[in-house]
Amino acid sequence: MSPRRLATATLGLVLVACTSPSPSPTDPASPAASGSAAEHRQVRLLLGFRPDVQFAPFYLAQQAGYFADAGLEVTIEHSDDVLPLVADGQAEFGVADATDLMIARTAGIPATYVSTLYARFPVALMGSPDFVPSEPAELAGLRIGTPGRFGSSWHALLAVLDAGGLSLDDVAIREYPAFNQVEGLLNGDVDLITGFRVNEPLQLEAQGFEAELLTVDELVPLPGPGIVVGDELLDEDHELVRAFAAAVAQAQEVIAVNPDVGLQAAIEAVPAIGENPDTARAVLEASIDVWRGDVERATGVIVPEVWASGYDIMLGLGFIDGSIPVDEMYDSVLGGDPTLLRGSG
Amino acid sequence: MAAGSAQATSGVRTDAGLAVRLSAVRHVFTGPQGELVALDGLDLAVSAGSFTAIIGPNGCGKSTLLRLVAGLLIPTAGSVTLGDGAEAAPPRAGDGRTGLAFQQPRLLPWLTTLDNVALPLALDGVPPAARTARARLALERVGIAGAAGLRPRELSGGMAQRAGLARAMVTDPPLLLLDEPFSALDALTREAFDAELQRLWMERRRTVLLVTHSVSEAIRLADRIVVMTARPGAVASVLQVDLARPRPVQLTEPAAAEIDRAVRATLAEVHPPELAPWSGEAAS
Amino acid sequence: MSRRPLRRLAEALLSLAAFLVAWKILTVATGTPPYILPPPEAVGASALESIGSGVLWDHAAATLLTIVLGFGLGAATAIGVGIGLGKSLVIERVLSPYIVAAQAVPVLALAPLLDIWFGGGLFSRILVCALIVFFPIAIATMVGIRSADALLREMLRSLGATPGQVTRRLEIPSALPVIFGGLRVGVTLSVIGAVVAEWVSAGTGLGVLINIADQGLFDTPLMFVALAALAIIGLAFYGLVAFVERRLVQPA
Repeated sequence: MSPRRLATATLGLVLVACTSPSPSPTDPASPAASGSAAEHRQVRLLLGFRPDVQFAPFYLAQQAGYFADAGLEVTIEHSDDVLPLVADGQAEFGVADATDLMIARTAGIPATYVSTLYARFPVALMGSPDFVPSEPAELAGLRIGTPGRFGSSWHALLAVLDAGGLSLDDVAIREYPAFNQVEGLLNGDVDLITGFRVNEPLQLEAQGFEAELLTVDELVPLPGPGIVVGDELLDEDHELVRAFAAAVAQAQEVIAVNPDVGLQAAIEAVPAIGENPDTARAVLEASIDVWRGDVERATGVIVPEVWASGYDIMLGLGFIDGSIPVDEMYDSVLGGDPTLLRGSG
Repeated sequence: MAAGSAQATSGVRTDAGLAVRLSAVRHVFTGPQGELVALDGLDLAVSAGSFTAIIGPNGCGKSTLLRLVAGLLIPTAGSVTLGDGAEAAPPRAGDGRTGLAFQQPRLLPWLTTLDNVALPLALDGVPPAARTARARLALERVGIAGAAGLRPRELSGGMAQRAGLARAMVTDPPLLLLDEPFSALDALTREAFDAELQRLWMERRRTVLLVTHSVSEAIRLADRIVVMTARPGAVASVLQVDLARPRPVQLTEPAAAEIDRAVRATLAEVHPPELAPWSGEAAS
Repeated sequence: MSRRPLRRLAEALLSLAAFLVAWKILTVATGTPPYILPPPEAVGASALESIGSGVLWDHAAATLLTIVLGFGLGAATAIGVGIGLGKSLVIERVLSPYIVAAQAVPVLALAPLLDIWFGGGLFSRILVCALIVFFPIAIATMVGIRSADALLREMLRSLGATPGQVTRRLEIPSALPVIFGGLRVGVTLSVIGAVVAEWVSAGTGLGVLINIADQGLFDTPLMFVALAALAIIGLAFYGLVAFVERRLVQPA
């Protein structure tokens, strides 16, 4: 075995690994026509997964010119590595789970959460009414399907188990790396699944499965997904970040009042969404509910209490070690008093 | 025909070996380029225990003839039989009656010389101890006993060719077919090997068919020399070689020179363009 | 005889040291943040930690199991099929279209189907791994079988060898050098196959560890440790095949 081959192979592997966190560019929407393109700052927004109707606020902000008004020309791309890329400045904005941000920040990735997209934590446990427990302790002995052992669904599941005094040994976990845990529930391989409350329940209903939900945020208050940026950008150009978040918040508010506008914007950006407009609309309406939460807070504001309790839960579960305090993890660029209700301030 | 036409000095067993008979043999190869008639109207009778040389330039079909006798080919027309009378039967490859040695050693590169020589026995299911013993014996007879543990790539050309010969003889077959076995070796080694072959044959008489394109080799070794025509091959003439054995490498008897001249004359007659001298008229 | 291995070891260590130095220089010179390209000492620390906690071994063992069984299954089937393809033009004509078509479909696309059909778990991972190594080994075997010297073939025929004897005594030994070429390629592919299988059907393994480190823990050094472990496993298996080849195959 030639030593040269050893070095070359390892170097090659390292180089491959270095180039691996790269997003897959899909640019479904064209930038807004208003304003002269040359004046607008070109920025990249990284979304996780595939294009989805839940991203309607971004598509609307692009098409209705909210981004342009803020002096931005936004290119939307999709990636699995939002946090490192945003922290490194390879993209300006990203959407990420708050719980992931806590872990990433503790691991040394300099990204900050700047605006809330989902006021409610969107993950829920769901299954047939026979299996959905009213209390976490009743989860013992059940078979639970989840995409993988990472991400907000995983954090939420462990938090719920912990709330019921259970550990992973008390349940049987089955992983669905292709995010098809709904199939597992439908063919009886698992009793419960984790899922996004705006997504999987509608899929189940479409298959004739009456699902009941155990929403996580009632049991264990965790902060939901939001907009993230790199520390460098935040320090350099706080106003730019604020303007971006404001444009997104504006779009969210418009859609909340008029969901069809959002639906149209989404279909315009991603024609495939238009193949199932009824389902898409249902998902969008459910999303609006999760964006706003049940208290009429100003859109996008970050609530310190929710973060504090979420931080303690993550600390207690061992996902973070507490070396970075919670208030270094977010910066509410839209400002506003989190206690103020919508329409009053 | 008459058996034992060669007069030996001592210690010889006569009449060992199989008779060979080819009657009206015609053999055609069909390929993408069409048909090739290699042999046509070939008749040849070889008596048991005799040494017959078959001579002719390349392309005359002598290798095809040998393969028919070896049972590797079945004649398109005509018959080939081995043996006399009631035991006469067409040849079948691997039935143990025939040993075949080629122009190249054709040894399996991943086996030792010993295992190569023992190969025919292994294919027949002879148990290891027995076949090792017989293979060693064969190696001794051709004089390379010390090479038993070597691999073919470690052998010189001459040693490898001897191994091939040993393999052909390891089953002690009554019919030995030799397809230009020494033509790949240098002339001096060839002469030495011819002498050895003569010795081996005189120790234990069997029928030998030797294909060659060396006139002197044929005269040194054979009882009869069969001269073949050009393609399609048939027997042009058969010349008797009644010289005493053992025959030295350099034959100085006038009778030998006479046979030599006769063979060359026939060759020139049936293969004029190639074998006529460059200066002077071509034989008609 | 003891000087050559010692010298080779020194060469290997020296080139490894040079590689690590170059890596360190690269991280310093480009100023790449450690969560994108960690410096060698961070990866080293992570390696020590994950070895000490047993995490690395747990995942590596699972991947090794998949590789060994997957490669074994794939290679055995491939050699068998390859012999058939090599010996019979009819078999080759009939089977080739299916084999080539199966090869053209990326394993990453087939893997989820296999996972569903065979109920997830170790068996479907072994199957994915076997599938990825099948083609190069089968083709190498076929080519090797056909490369048997025609002169030797005639020699065996003249001795009355049966087709089975010809296969065993001529075709397979002739084919061994080429087959081992296919095995070398196959064994490195089997590492990829195991990782792909793990990405699809989860469980434990270095592929899973890469995912968890990357997207769950945001621990880039640990991800590199997993990658390095895979590289080492690949090298080790390649060396093993080369070693066996030196024993079994005589140089021409």
